[in-house]
Amino acid sequence: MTFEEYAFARTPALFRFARLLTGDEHRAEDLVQDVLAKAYARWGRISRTDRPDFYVRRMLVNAHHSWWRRRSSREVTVETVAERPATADEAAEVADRDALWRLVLRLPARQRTVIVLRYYEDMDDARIAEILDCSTGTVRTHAKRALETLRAAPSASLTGGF
Amino acid sequence: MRTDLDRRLAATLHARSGDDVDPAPIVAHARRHGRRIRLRRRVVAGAAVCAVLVALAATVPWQRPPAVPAAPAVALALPLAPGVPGALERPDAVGADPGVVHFAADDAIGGADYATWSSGYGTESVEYLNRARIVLAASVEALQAAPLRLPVAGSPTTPVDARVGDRPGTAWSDLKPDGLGRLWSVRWQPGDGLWAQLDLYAADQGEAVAAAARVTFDEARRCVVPFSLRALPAGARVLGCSVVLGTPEHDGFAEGTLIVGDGAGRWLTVRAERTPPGMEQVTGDLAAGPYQAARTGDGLLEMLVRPCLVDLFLTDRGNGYTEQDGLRVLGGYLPVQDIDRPDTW
Repeated sequence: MTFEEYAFARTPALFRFARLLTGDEHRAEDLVQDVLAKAYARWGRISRTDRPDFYVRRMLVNAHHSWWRRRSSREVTVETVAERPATADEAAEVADRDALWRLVLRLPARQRTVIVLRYYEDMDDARIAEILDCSTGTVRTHAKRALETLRAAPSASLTGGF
Repeated sequence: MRTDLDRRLAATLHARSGDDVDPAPIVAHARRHGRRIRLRRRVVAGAAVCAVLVALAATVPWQRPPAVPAAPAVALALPLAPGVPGALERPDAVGADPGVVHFAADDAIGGADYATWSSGYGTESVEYLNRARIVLAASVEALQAAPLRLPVAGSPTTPVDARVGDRPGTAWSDLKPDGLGRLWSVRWQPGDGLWAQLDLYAADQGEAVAAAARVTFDEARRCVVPFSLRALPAGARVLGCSVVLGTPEHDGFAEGTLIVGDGAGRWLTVRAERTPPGMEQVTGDLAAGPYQAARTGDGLLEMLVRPCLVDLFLTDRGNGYTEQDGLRVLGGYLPVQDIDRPDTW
């Protein structure tokens, strides 16, 4: 598989993944561009691995965590909610998702990454551990703490409880 | 077992992952910056080699190397094919011989860092990285089938009449994916039985037509790679050739590829590239003539013949040949003496 074949096929998925990791459209774009440029520079090696996409995703996660560590401030980017529901039920559902998303954004980087990999990418703990280069026990610890934080958040009760 | 929170998290994340994006500008950016990263690594690696050589020079008695003629500057042009007619004289030969391109574009496009020349399968082309592409074919169908790697939005304007010199043609344009600029395309018939197309990021139609007028079809060039294959499978021949040349600032030769096949569905690809940093060791136990090759992936054989990393693709970029066939082909791999002088290849 050439770099171009890989990149054209997988960039949309990488971009969606990066959006969830960063919570910011522009940061996600920068992240994906940087990681793909690095992947291009070493594509000869990446393309020979069993799972090029797995390799690139790990690069993306590592780059995101490096950026997170370098960040001087700890402010959280919170998007405005653009969607406007048509019914009361849909309104409640959108409000619920919006509240939960804001809580996810406030999680520490590694905890959020575990949550995204587990609930969006549908990965099991063993694969998440491979990507994060840690043990499955550490993955479970990150997940446990993240879920405890989400359950304990005040907005949980406002949106019907988690 | 999934809890209510599990389900909400999955729904929330899928809702927040957003819409798809157009990958073209991101891929173009990655290629551009990826090449710079690769170049920087080579410079760093070269500096390390220099440091070692300087250290050795301090301890080893110096011997002046034998005088050699000065090598010509490596440009983006292919070497001349003396005595071979150009496309105007032999339109039927276009794309028929992978070792020849029947046109030249020395003065057509400026400002490119790399050019990829290709010949075979009925077309001949050159793509200037992120700048332009020129394709030549004996039929408009073959011209249209040639892949375009320059990113566009995909909403071309309606073609209008355009003249390239005294020859009739058409021109149209398409926005770049970022909306900042247009790719102008000019398709014309330089001679009877001959079709050409130029695609160029340009300010207007006039600039593209002027560039098209600078492409010449009265001489031929050799599509060369810095190696030959002396042991092809029975009934096989070279079907396609592609070479990536960089400016001297970009190390000249970058990559050369030959496609070999029997014309009946069996084919394989051999690619040599300047060994990327970090790939200086290939550990393999497969005998390929005088070389040791490694099986580094499904249908992929690799060996190091300095200064190139050589890959042979049996699948993905090949079909029908066995690993033994591939090893025999690699065994017949013969590198040129001077990788920096395409005129000697």
